[in-house]
Amino acid sequence: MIRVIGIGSPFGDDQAGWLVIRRLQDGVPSTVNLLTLDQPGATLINWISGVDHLILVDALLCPQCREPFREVGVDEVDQGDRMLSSHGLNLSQTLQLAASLGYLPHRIEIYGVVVTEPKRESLSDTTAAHADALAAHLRKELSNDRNVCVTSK
Amino acid sequence: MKSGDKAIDEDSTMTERSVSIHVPAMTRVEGEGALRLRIENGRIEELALDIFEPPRYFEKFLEGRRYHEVLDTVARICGICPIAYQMSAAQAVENAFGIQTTDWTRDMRRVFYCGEWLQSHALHVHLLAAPDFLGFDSVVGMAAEYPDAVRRGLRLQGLGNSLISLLGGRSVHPVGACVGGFFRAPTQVEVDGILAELHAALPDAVELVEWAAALGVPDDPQGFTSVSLRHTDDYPMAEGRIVSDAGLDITVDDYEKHFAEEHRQQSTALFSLLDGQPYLVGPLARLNLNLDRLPDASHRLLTASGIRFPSNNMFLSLFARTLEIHVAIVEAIRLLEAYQQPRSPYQEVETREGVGCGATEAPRGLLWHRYTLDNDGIVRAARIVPPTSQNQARIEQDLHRSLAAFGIDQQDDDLRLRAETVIRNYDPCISCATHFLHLDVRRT
Repeated sequence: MIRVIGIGSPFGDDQAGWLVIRRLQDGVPSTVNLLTLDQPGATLINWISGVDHLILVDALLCPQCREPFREVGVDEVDQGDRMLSSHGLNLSQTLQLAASLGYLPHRIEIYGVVVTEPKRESLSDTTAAHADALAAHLRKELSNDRNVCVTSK
Repeated sequence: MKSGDKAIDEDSTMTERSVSIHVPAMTRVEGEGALRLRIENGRIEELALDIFEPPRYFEKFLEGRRYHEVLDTVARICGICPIAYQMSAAQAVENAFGIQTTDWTRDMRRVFYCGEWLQSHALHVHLLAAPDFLGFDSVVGMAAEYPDAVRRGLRLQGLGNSLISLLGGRSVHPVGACVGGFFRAPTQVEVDGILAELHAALPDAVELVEWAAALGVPDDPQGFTSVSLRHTDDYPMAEGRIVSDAGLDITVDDYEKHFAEEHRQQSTALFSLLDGQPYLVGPLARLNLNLDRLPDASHRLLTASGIRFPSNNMFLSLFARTLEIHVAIVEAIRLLEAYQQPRSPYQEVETREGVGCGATEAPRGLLWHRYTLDNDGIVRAARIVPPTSQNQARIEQDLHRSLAAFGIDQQDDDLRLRAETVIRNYDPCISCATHFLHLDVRRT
């Protein structure tokens, strides 16, 4: 199973992950499962167990980045010294936990939609354009993926 | 400031400032806790648990809102126990309007509550508390050595979320409950589906209780007063009288005659006292006061564990939570096996001027609400007393004696770990922060 998860919230540029999922809804085979979540945490593990190919999309604050999106390795995911909270684990801890439990999918891609100047109230045009670029990239990748079973919609 | 730093007065001031600065950044968590400990000549001269508890502001948010907005609003107070807030609020508003809910609504509210206990307790036991007793910094390390236990915890948490979704439409900030009942009744097919999951989870729950009984927690008896709801027939969740092991036995309407909150300088949360004294709410208090209300299967499990209750060992709170996970599954099965589709899942509401109180048992303990409503059903005043507020004075009392018993000459890191473990016994809504407790130790 291939699952694409957009992580974000309804606020400002944090919407980027969700926007990518919205853009993909009409452009990928129906066998690709699309999902939006508001935060990583224990719940994320329930969504990634049993998945063969996982694509995670989140906003990436990177003022110096020139590219619209960036792929990061699982080992590169570092959200700083955030606490282990009852609301959830951060993404790095969640992936570590999933690995310990044997729930980590065989193939994981993590993409960050580059946010250079974060807006808190509304999605900026720049971030929206970056999300569109990533959606186009993923649409192409998933369409060319031989493991994706293309079915009629 | 982290443990090990030697604070001076200026640093102390900075610590307080840094805590207040951290609050706005804590939007995804429940709050932040800071423990200030001052030791002079081998004595604890100052010990204060600072808590920043945003739910207090919701009482003002509610003023001027119509009664049907209350449940959606209070659900936002807590991402972990929104049902507790919704159920206490529904009960209070219904009492103000003089509404008698149907048996179906009462049963389904109990099922709804079972879901919340399951997900909240499973999360706390496996992801937050168990690492303390198994010698790990976090569940990430624990999972490498005890993967089956963590998998079990995630399964139980997921089942709790499914149960919440059955009646709430979704597991986070559910939207299915309303004053008078629920907006929608589950179909029989949906009920049958979740029943199969509940039956399949029973072995997990039994194994969990046995696992918790074998954990080996410190033997640390202490004196405290337990307070919880008590129902005429059932283990308390969504209704009952308020009782204590010191002889208190009152209706929810009389709460304010005995319980009072006070403000203390170090905390934006209020400290609640029973007749002027700290007291305990939560799973250990519930179990202490309701042993004879346990379902038979849960009672047999408790007896087989060899652990004796009532107990005055706060470290058995984790065990009490695991037993309540079993209670939740057994009760949800009992109620859903008798499920029948209602003619209507809710009663029509007629507003009237009045004051209503409500109290239910949140996973962390008694949650009390009072609303004053006008003839149009608009909230004119609201008061909400969450369990963390009620336990705060008890936590400080416990820390005083527990750290003294542990030995205040211990290394700062060891003191911090013991303090965190003590605090986590209460599963406070700042439990997120207690894994990241700032400990400011000043020694002279």
